[in-house]
Amino acid sequence: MTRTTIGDIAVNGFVGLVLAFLLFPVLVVVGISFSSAEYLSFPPPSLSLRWYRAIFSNWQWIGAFLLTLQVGGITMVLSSVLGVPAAFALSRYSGRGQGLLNMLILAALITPAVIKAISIYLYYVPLGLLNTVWGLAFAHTVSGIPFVVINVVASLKNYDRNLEHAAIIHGASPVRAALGITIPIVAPGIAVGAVFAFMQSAQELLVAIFVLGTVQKPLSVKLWEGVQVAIDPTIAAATTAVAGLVLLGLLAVMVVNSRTRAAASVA
Amino acid sequence: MSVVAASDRGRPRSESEAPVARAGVRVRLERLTKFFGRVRAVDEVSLEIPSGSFVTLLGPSGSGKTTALNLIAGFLAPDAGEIQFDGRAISALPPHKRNIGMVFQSYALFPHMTVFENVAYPLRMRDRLSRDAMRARVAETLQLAQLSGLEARYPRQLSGGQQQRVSMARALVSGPRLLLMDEPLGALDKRLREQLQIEIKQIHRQIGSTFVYVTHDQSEALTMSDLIVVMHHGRIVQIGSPPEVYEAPVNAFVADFLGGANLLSGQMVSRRSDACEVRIANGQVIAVPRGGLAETESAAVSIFIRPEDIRILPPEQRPHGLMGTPATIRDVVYLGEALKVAAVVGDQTVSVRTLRSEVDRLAPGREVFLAWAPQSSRLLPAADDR
Amino acid sequence: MASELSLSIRSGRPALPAAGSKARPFILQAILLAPVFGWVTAFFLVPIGLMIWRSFAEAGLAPYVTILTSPVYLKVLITTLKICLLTTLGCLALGYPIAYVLTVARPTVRGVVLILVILPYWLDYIVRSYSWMILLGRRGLVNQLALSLGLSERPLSLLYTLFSVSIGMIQILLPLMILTLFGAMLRIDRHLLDAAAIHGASRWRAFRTVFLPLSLPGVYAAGLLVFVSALGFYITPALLGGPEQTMISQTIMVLASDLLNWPLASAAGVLLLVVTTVLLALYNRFFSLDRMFGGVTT
Repeated sequence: MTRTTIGDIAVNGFVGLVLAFLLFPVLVVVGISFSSAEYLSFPPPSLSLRWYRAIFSNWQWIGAFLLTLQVGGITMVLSSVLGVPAAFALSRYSGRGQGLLNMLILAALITPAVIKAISIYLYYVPLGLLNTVWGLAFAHTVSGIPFVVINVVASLKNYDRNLEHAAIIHGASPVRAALGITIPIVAPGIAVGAVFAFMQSAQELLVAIFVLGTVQKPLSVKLWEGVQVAIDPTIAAATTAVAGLVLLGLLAVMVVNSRTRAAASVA
Repeated sequence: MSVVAASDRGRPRSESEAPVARAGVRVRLERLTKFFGRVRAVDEVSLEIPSGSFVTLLGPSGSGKTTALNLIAGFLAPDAGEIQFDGRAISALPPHKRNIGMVFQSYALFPHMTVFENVAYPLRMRDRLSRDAMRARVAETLQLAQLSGLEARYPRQLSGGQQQRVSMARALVSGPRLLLMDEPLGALDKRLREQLQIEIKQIHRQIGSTFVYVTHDQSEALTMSDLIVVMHHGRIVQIGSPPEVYEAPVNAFVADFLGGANLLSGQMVSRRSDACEVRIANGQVIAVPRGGLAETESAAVSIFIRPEDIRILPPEQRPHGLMGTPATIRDVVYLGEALKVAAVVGDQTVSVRTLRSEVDRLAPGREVFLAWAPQSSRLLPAADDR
Repeated sequence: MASELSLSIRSGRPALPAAGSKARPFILQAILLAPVFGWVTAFFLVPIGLMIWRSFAEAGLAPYVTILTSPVYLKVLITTLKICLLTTLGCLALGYPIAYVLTVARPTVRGVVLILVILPYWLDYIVRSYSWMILLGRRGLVNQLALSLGLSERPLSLLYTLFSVSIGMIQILLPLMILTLFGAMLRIDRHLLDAAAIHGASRWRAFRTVFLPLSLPGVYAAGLLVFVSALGFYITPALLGGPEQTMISQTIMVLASDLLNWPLASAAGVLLLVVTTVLLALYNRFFSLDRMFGGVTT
């Protein structure tokens, strides 16, 4: 029914307040990052880009950014290469392996970061993987795989298996049918999962601190140190820049998703 | 048609009344319109549903029948027009105050409640009955729906047919004077469906409420209804008793939708007060009773004949008093209780239902004469894709 | 080959493992799953095994006895559970109405609200905790507002309290709560609410008698998930909490990186792991993984 009652107004008001609670703090940081003041104040006295100039002309920040790109990039590729076959196995076959994998994925996703951090440190000391970009990416891949698996399984669920059957009937080998027909169709799911894998790597802090020490600092570590000492808006600008990057990633994900949906509705 | 006097208009509901023998609601739809985006799902539908009648909204999917039902239930608000129960406008009334019982297509049984709790639900919400009175009423209704003994089961522990009965019992329990049914038998197999059709009809006779039934199954509509409302593209195409809509469809759509009629297209060549002559594709001129059709001479028209009204005669036989045309048999299909014969007339195929004892006479390729009594044929506007 | 395949399709068997051998699906499955199992074993399970070994290696059960008997560590454990419980209940109170509105809303409204909910979810924990530092600080926006409205004479100490930690954690975990609840609520057949309404239930009673009971499994799942996620929080309590609000992750970090007391750090890690695993096993027992985000991540 389209009638509006007092209850509706109350519920809508509540929803508005909660959304404000979710979003307002973020807006505050963005606002301060454009502040011209030397200190943290909101609303800012006037707007300027000085803090952004400060970051983007600082080699420490640029280096941190490049390091994050490296680690995140490796994590993204590894997570996809490992996660996609597993997603296929999960959605196609049933058996004891599936239950175990489900549990492992859930564990990898939700085990407290501090446990991952100290255990990987203990492990890397004898292996000599400490202070290496690869070492950090290998560890981040464990948490990246779940995102790929979850998203690919979701897109495989909507996928009509008969397309693959049709390809096989018309002469394609099963492997070719999977590579030529199925993979392109679930590609958006893979892309979404890969972006998420990248983003979790870029935001991860504790493992990065333990594996890279304080010598090399990816963005998250640099931000962390800054947040604890900074009293000027540099950090606000840096966090906003990172947030902007994440938003771009999210936007890419949504564009890919809506394309898929459009394609699916045509088919 | 059973028309019960709507004498209890506006009478307040008494809480202790048994769910039987009260006059049904007289429902009136007036120029009812509902848009979905730019699509007119229901387009200026006006309809008078007599108190206590069994009315079926019949049409293909997307014809607006379910939307019309949801408007009556109050799940949707009309964009224009009005709904009246016993002469009172009820558009402003939310669903829970309309005092309706409803059977849903998917049954919509509450999965966390037992059969008893499901059936007792309307009583808990609507009536303030004592515990014992409620138990008694539920037991009575479960018996009516042949569900006694299943009180403690959960919906997932029931067969499809049993779930359907629970859904019926829930709709009936508080004695609503109007019952809505949205394709209630759609998910069941044919035998069960036919059995439940009879049961629903019996219940309707017993309780005397008004039933509005939605289906796309023409045989269901013909079996159960007092009145059939044929809908197409959001509009009412024809309203009539089952014999009326079956034997005297107003256009090609109704004729076709109610059981695969033959429509021979042709051109009007002469028009008299009682009959017209139509030249069909093979050059044959056929006389058809005029009916109410106001087409002009030389207009394109269709001749409507039911497959079971056609007789297959040897080609040389031209019986007096029957109309007909030469034809060639193309196919003979064995249906069990009858034969279905496809015969070619010009560039059209005519389907004929005939006795299976005739099977020896009929073979593909044979020349025959198709004959029918003139009064079993009707003139319709040319079959277009309305 | 082709005829065999078409046969196997008609008989309803999957076509990929063709030609009637029962061993092939198993082998194929193993090939597809082996890399993930291998990787997770090498970079997740073995390191954790090492941590468990390390917690016993030097002093046996002594580190565990220390943690479970010393008031300092006990207090941290209790504080951690308290903050997690507070966070979970807060998320539930704020998230349930939103998830409900998402479930019943028109598609456009649903889309907008979903985007607004997901947007902050993908912002860094550091960013979001930092924003509360700015808002709740002595010269932060909340205090400025309170002072100028005359609600308070002096700036309130909002930061470094149980309040600030809980607020920060609720804000961070709320999207997870909403999305998990929403995924569960979407599975409730909307016709059930229609059926309740037509049979006499007002909207509120339809909600109470039908929607609420059917949504409870989702509530338990989401609550469990939020609680487990909250257990491992480090950044937020470190930035927004005072010494009184020290959570177990912070203690482990201090033990490992500042005090280099690896047996104690490992033992605390194992305890945290045990609690997490038990809760996760509970979750996995009753709710499957694919319900987690249910494809509603975007």
